[in-house]
Amino acid sequence: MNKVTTVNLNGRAYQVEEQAYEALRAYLDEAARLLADDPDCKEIMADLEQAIGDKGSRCLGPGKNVLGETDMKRILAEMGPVETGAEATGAAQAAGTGAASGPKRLYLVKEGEMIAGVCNGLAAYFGVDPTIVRLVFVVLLFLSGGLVAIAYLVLMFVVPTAKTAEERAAARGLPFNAQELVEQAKHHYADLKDSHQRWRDRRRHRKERAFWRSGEKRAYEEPQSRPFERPQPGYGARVAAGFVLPLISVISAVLTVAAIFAGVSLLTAGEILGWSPPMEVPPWAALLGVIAVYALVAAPLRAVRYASYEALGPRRGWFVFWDGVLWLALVILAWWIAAHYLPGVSEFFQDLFHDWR
Amino acid sequence: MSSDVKFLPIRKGLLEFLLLKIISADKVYVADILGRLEGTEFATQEGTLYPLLSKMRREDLVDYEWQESGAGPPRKYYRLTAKGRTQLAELNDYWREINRTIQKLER
Repeated sequence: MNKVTTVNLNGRAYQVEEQAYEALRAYLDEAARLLADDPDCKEIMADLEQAIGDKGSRCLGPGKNVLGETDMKRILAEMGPVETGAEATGAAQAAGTGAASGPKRLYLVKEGEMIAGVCNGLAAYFGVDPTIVRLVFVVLLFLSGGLVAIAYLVLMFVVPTAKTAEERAAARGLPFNAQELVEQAKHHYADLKDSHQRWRDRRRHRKERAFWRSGEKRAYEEPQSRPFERPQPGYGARVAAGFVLPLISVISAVLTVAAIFAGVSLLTAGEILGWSPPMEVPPWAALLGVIAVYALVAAPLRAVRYASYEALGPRRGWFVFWDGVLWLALVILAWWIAAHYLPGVSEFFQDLFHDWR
Repeated sequence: MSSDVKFLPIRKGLLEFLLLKIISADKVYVADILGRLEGTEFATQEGTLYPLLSKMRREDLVDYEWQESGAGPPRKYYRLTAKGRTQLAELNDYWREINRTIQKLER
């Protein structure tokens, strides 16, 4: 005589003897352990239970309604040990990255960003100079009457930031799908809440520290202050960078406006401040020349900018943000002035806007 | 059927290829697949097949739909996706290439 237990296999009830139950339990536990890392673990477990159940049903008949130990052992032997495709997947992934250097995808690129790195990321994605993307962005900003700014904000929150080396490579090297988009937005929201919380914690911490410092000896406090932060650049370097950065922004904004002005006047009037290119040079070649000169002059400025970012140390986020905003504001201001007070420019853009439609 | 352990990786590696081939012919469910492989070098069991199919589904090579069966619960019927068919074509070419190489080396 054997004790009988009822088990539920993927939604159907089966009567099994106790030893059969033990064997089944052991098989399913082992399967669950092996599949723990598999993203479809639950589904596969359900499939396996279903398959065991189907095989069990075939053993059962009118004269037999309990599965014994031998039946179960045979069924489980038929099922075979669970093999995760772990090694196979690893190999397939290695082959995939080796062959096509990974799929390309859009990231915010924070190395040399102006505001949030959207233009920088787009530039990396399309493999062009970030300045060109920024200029296109500013032009679109005007043509769309500001709609592009909303697009920028959305991208800023939705596109992931390239943090690891692989991500930075991928930024240059799949468009991301809708589900990921939502996930990213949620993630950023959580981050935002989180950073707010951290900010509040830090403020409380500072208050408490100030309180303690007033009472205790300073030497007691000193060794444990910020033990794990990167060595900070010297104070002098940071102050210098703080002055240099806005200056660089103003210069580069002026330069950008000058380049745009030169390009526009080249295309509309065929000359730049009275100088016109030789007759045999086509307008597009002259325009390329202007862009080349601009890139040449802008390159050292950019180098100084990056050096300043470095000098500002780890807490440069807001500064870099405002610096980018300053650049954008100056370019927009110059644009507005040009569009309103220089007849050639406003005509050119009206034409462009007309053609656009 | 050779039981040499050295041949094991070859069989394992080819299994996915054979699954693509079997599924490409018709909508099939797991018992069909096992039946087709039974008695061949590639005889496979559920414990191997389900995780592999689920991996292939994640890689967007196969997809399944639930279909009522005459008796018992509904079954998962697998079929190839567009990506699965492309992969199968590539694998077929690759397989021919390998065969050509082997034949060349035999001469």
